[in-house]
Amino acid sequence: MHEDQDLVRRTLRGDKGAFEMIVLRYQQPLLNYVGRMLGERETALDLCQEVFVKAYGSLRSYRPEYKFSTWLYKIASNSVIDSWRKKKLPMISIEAGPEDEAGSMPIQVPDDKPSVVRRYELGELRARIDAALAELPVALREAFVWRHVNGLSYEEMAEIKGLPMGTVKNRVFQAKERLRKLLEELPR
Amino acid sequence: MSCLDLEKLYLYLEGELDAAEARAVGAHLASCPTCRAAAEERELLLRAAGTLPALEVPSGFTQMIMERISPAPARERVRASRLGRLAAAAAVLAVTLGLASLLAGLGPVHAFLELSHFTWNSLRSFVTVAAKFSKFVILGFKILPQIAGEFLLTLKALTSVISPEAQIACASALLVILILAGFFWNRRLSLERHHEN
Repeated sequence: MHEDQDLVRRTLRGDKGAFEMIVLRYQQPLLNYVGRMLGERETALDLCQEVFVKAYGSLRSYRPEYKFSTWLYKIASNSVIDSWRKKKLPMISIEAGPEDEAGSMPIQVPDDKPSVVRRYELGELRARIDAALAELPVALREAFVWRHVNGLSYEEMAEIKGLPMGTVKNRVFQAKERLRKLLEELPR
Repeated sequence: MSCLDLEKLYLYLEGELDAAEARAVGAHLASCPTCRAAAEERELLLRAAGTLPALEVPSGFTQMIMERISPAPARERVRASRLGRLAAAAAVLAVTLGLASLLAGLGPVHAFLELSHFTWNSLRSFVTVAAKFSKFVILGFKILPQIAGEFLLTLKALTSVISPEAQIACASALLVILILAGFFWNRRLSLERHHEN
């Protein structure tokens, strides 16, 4: 986005107001991402602040040929991983993709089973999706949130994670199908 | 035609397929009730996921971030602390005066008038003392050359009655006394500095 590049240039020239505009633009999408990744609101708010502080501190290392949002999400993703490391969660659940897990592939073709999502009103369905997200493996949760909550493109996601686009598409697909399965399993 | 690959179905629903692929999937959906039902199910899931409520950003969140990236400069903090000290001193003075006026049984207006009177008298005394001191300094400058002249005349008279050897002995003794005095004075200062540290 040209406007982002302009705000970055102005910030580097010492215009704090320009960085404030960046914060205002990205605080909501970042909180939506970090909050759904961590599940704890206060921790998510702290981490979001940290992401902006880190971004401000390393703004000179940002290369304008890339999208600013991609660069910011990369910082956020690394901060989320660091946060889990500090909590000493098993590393496999943080960094490994679902492609590393045996027997994780969902069914690839439609079946005749009755609808899962039609059982709920839209509002209830949203609440159940939010609850089921917490049960998804981290890599799938991140892929799902970026794609369907933050509205990132597959190209952006591949760039952020440094993965082939096919891998990213497959992660998003697996996330959705596992989520659908979780909706079925969660108690009503 | 066999049923659709679900991954492809999702990409179709997201508008990620090229035109030819999308046409082929659309044609299949028109003829396959199983895939159509699956598509409707996934479409609903995507619609719900795409409209999940935003997490609330608390008020003042942006300001907190801006404060973290630009803390108040040191100079401003020093100025603020000086202002704080001045304000504290003014507050202490006001409280002391208030208490004093209460103890003396005076009303606040009366206490203020008393204070004004006291300040005016102090100022007048200070101006008087300063004027006298300056007069004294001017007088000192006037009589200093006369004193110096008298001192030189006395010295001349003394040298005329004391032998040259005695003069050298006196000058040497005076020099030694001055050197010793300088040495002890310097030592005392060093000891004082050492105690302060």
